[in-house]
Amino acid sequence: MTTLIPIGSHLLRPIEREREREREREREMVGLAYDFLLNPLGAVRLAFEKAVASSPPDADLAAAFRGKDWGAVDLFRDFLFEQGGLSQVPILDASTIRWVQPNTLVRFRGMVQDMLGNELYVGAYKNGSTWRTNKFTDVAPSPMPPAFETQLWERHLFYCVPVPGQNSWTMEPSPSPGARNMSSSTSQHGVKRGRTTEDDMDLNVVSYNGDEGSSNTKKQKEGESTCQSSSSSEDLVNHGGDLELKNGDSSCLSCLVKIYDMPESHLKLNDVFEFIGIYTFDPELAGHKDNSDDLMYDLFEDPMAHLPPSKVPRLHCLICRKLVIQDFLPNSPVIEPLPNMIRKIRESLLLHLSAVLGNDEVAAQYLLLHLLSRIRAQVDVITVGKLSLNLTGFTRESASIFGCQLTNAVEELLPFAHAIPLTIEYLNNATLQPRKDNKTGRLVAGVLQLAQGTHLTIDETRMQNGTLTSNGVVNARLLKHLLEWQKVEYDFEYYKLEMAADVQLLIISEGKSSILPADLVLPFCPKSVAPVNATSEQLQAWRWYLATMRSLQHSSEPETSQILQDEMVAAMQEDRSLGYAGLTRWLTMAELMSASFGEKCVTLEHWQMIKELERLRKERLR
Amino acid sequence: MDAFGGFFVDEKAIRVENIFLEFLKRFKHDPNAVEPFYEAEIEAMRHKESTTMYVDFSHVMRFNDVLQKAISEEYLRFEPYLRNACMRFVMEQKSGENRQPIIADDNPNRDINVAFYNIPLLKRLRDLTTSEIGKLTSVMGVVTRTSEVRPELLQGTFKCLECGGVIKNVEQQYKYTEPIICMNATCANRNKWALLRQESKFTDWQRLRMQETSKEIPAGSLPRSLDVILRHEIVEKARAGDTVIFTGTLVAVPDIMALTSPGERAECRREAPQRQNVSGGHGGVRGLKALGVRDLSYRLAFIANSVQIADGRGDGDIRDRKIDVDDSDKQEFTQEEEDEVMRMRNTPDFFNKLVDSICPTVFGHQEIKRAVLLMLLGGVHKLTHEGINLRGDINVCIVGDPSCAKSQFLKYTSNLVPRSVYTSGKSSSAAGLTATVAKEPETGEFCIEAGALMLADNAMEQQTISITKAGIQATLNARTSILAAANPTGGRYDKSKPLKYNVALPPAILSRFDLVYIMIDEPDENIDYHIAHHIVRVHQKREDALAPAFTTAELKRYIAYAKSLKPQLSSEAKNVLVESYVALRRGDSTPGTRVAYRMTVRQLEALIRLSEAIARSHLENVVLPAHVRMAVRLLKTSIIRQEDIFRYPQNFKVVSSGFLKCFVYSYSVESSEIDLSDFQDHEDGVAVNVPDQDAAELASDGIGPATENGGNEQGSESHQKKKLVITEEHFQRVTQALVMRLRQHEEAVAQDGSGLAGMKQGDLIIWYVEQQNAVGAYGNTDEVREEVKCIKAIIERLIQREGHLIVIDDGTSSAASDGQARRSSENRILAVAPNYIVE
Repeated sequence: MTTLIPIGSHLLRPIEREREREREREREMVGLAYDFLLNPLGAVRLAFEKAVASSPPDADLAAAFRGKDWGAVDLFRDFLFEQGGLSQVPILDASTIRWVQPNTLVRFRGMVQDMLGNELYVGAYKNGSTWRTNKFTDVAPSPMPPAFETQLWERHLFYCVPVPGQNSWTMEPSPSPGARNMSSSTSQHGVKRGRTTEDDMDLNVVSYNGDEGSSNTKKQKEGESTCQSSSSSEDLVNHGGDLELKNGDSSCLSCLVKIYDMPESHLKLNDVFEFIGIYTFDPELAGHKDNSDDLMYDLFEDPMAHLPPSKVPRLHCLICRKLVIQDFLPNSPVIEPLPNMIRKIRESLLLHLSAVLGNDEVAAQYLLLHLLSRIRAQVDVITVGKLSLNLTGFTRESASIFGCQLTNAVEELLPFAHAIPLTIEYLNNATLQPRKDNKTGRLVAGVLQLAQGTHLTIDETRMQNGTLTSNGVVNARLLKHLLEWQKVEYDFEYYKLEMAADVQLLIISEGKSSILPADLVLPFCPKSVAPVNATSEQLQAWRWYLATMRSLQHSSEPETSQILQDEMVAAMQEDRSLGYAGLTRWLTMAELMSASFGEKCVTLEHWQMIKELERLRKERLR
Repeated sequence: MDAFGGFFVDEKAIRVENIFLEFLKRFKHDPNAVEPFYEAEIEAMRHKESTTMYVDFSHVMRFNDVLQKAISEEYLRFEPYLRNACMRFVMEQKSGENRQPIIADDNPNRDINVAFYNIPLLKRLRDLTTSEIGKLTSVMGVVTRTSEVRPELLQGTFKCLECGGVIKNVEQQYKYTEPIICMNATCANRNKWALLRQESKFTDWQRLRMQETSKEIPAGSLPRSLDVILRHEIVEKARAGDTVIFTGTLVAVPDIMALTSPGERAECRREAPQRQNVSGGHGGVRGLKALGVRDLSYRLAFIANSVQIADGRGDGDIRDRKIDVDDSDKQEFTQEEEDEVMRMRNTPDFFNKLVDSICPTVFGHQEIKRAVLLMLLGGVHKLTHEGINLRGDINVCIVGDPSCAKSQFLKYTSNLVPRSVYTSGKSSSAAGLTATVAKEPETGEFCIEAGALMLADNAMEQQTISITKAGIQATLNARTSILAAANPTGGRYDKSKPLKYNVALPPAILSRFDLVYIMIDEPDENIDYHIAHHIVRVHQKREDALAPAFTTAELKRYIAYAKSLKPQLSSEAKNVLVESYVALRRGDSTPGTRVAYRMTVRQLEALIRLSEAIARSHLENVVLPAHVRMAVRLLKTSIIRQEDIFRYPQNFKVVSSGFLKCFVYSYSVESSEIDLSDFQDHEDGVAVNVPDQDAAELASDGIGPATENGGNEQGSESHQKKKLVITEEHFQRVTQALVMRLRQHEEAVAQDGSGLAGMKQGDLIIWYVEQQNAVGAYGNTDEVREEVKCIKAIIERLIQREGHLIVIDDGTSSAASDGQARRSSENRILAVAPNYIVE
């Protein structure tokens, strides 16, 4: 692959100078030595050579730059965040991959699904008397010198997938190829990067779309109220199966991200990140796969064999950033978080929720608290902040109306939401547990490998008598464990590991779900079927409201703590059945209630509201 | 670094080789030993027809620091020289004495390989980075995949197909490598070669993949994997699923997926100086050929020279020298860890602090926390050689009102114990079993009910108890301690009724719990206030506010350390134990006294276990009277009620194949003299030292490892032992008769509420002989004598090995009073072990 070496570099040897001149001619009127968007490697290498040149001559240069940045990342940071370059960087997804060129700068948002450990690469090598670098690339521009003139550096490999259950409204519009041409028409012109032509690329994209598979990402339009649960159940059974099937899915673009100069612990499993880096995709490398006649290699599979560069795009990460829910609110309105404003949004959201729930206002109140819940801490074995909700009293008929409305409403409001049917068939066939396949060396995703803050609606209304297979028993146990402890057990064949989760669980069922005993059980009492409508402005306001209030930090003052304690003691004396768990739940609810008003501190008023809600709930339970 | 080392004489390497040879010749484990250690090693090699020289690295460290540093820092560079030193050592030995050679001169394909073990620093898989390449390291992991074993060509002999010339010893590096050019000056052949298999050197080769152990994985990360190459005799030493310590070195190999052509795979970044080929400069393609433009990626792989199975499986020893890495029994503790544990031990009021540090998120319930702590520590496990267990595990059951944080204890414990299973509620089920989902008509609730298999009686045979109604499911095998939580039958605990009306647990299962606690919600404003305060603090993430005296990590280490101790009952403790037992039984049987439990032998065992656990918590190697007293108090606070001590779960069967063998062993203990008094020396008061006795027996029989003191003791008194062999059938008949008699007696005693359970051994024997005599079994008195001797041996065997009988009172006190110490075996009081099942 040809690379662009900066003009006027006095370090070039004659042959290279010649080549350079050629390239210069190609580039004609380019002002900058490199283009951050279209030739990021040029920037990387120029920065390296500059850094080498400015180091003392006798220093062990290559070793000095191992595991360090020599200013390249700063250049990009400046370009992206100071000069507003970020908006020009295309987002790598199934649609943009058709036209995004290899070795250009891209953005990718995804969840860390698998960690493939370290890879060593020839980070620096001596070309004649000059040290050069191969950082942020898979291929070198020139043949490698003997081993003693090379330096092995290290990079971490992460396999990233689109966030499971990500709703289509969260997708940020990417700058179109046209827009990019506008912004960088000068440099785009005449540059022929690499041997991959547009035609090659198209072919590849075709093969990409060739595989069959249904979308995990909901393409549903806003306001559309089709019930998805029937079709999504099928999807989800497939979900954990073959990852490569998912890769073939046009809307699910997975990416192998290579991370540099960063402790591996910076990225955790199931974290959602945005990576900005150099995209490589090389169909030519695929052909070498079958040459493995060597004793050393052909005995069992290598994890990388399942991620051939011809199929899985790679991203050499320059800058990455952990994303929170707010980052998934495109066009989010700038709302001044004034108490007044928040109250208004809260009221309208409650109205909306109660419309969704057939004007059951109590259920709407509980649903709001549930939607605001998140895991705030795992103190020892206690999970603080979870509030799972079980709405009971659904019949098949009411489930087909309200269940669907509810699922759709949640999907419209929260960035990541899943719905799974709790049926014998589903439990027996689905793969909920993430499992390490030691044959391929890969972690096979299960349905329960979810990003933090994902909402899970479990529909028990279609459950019938039947027999669970051992897989069904395992799945039921996993779900219950997730519900009770917010932990998911991953199967590593020879041992199991528990991973912390933060998943909001909503269960709808006919009777109280004893398979999944939620924190709160509320008999659902719809009064009427009202049409559910929401404008996109409203939806945006609600999404903003939920994301912002949910991430609110709670604080406490000694006086209120004291009042709360007294209240709790009084409550306990009133009703001994409340118990430890009940009190903990009340406190969580009170905190969520205060958050729903945008307040950080629980007041007596919130506590009274909770008590009243609980009184109403208790009445219904009778 | 000496990048061209391969082309010059590596002088340092030669020095290393010589020092290493010196080490092999000179090193003595004990300065007074006659024979150098590694000469003995050669003997072992000869014996096993092995060509691998196992070298304990701690020996090297003791021998010479320079050598130690050279090997550990530049192992890959010096490895060929070390092998050479071994070869020289073996050859010198061979020439010195006229013994069967390890390596026949006519076999060019045999080398001596060196295998190091006992590297002091065990690296974590995650910490193996490029800086470790070429060094000697040890790493532990779980083997997840193994390849088949294949031959690997080490040195090829080639025939030139042009001129017919033969080129020997073409070094192969990870790849089939032909000579570059024919040696014959007139022949320019570069590519037409035939490999002469017979004259080439091959070795066994295997590739494994290992994965980090679950303990080493940082939160939020996935376990790392690493490929391991095994060669020579260590192939097939590890199986998938084993936890293994590999010793060897890290190398970087090119990543297959990034390679352009197979030819370039030869470039393995072995920085070892390649030994110069004797036959000249045609050492094959060394891979210095320029790599293709795409060959940038490398991966780390580990070339192991020794394999140690770390999970206690028997056959993983380095040449039968047992390496004890059994994680529960013989854990290694670093000095810092030991210091930390001692510091914790020396903290004032440490015991209560330990207790309070258990499950700190639950307020109060000290007695349950204490029980959980003791459960985590456990009593000393006694295992007979036939696999019959005297369990050391302490089982605890918490019965309590719903929503009172019971499950927090369970979850906490399952987090604390590395190998634990947390199951709870109706949806729990053993793996591989199916369950039924059924709708309860009244409520519309769907419940997962375990299949019929899961229900108590049947499942007991599979060593699994599952009582869905009580929300318990647990596996009851020999080495499992159980912490169970059960909801009361009626939803809330009814204090007006006894435990059995509150819990739907069969007595047979309930009786397996050493401690049963009830968590009842007591209306008490003060407690309520504390609970409220506690909840608020937890919610405000004031973790430090509820920070226990010891962190979970500290507690884990303390428990691990304490568990490594095997406290023995002191004689004073034994006395206290017996006194307490007697007192408890007496209190129990006195009419009108309100004691919540009935004392049985089962409780006696529990008492011993609890005392041992308390001794462990104090880091004592001896169980002191104070520990026993504490255990007694604990047992009193627990409210176990024995419904029926005779209803034992039928959950294990004696495997008869092992039976006959053990039975023969038992008779080798028997002395040839008839005199009853000879048995007193075998006695060991309370039957807790079974394993030691076993070792002693084995030693006296010349089988198994010689435990010195045991062997001597036994030897001094059984000079003229004669083997007594009876049929297994006879043995079992006698056993059953004795057990039945003891049980009858126990029942009778329990009914009239007086005296001790158990019988004097003498009485028992007399009873048996009378029984036999009544049916005319004996012809003369000699036969009676033989029989008595036989029964005594059987009893001894049942106590010491089978554990079917236990000694409640060793009778020394009464024996001492009448000056007849010799007869104490007759006076000791025997009872049937509670674990024994009448078939």
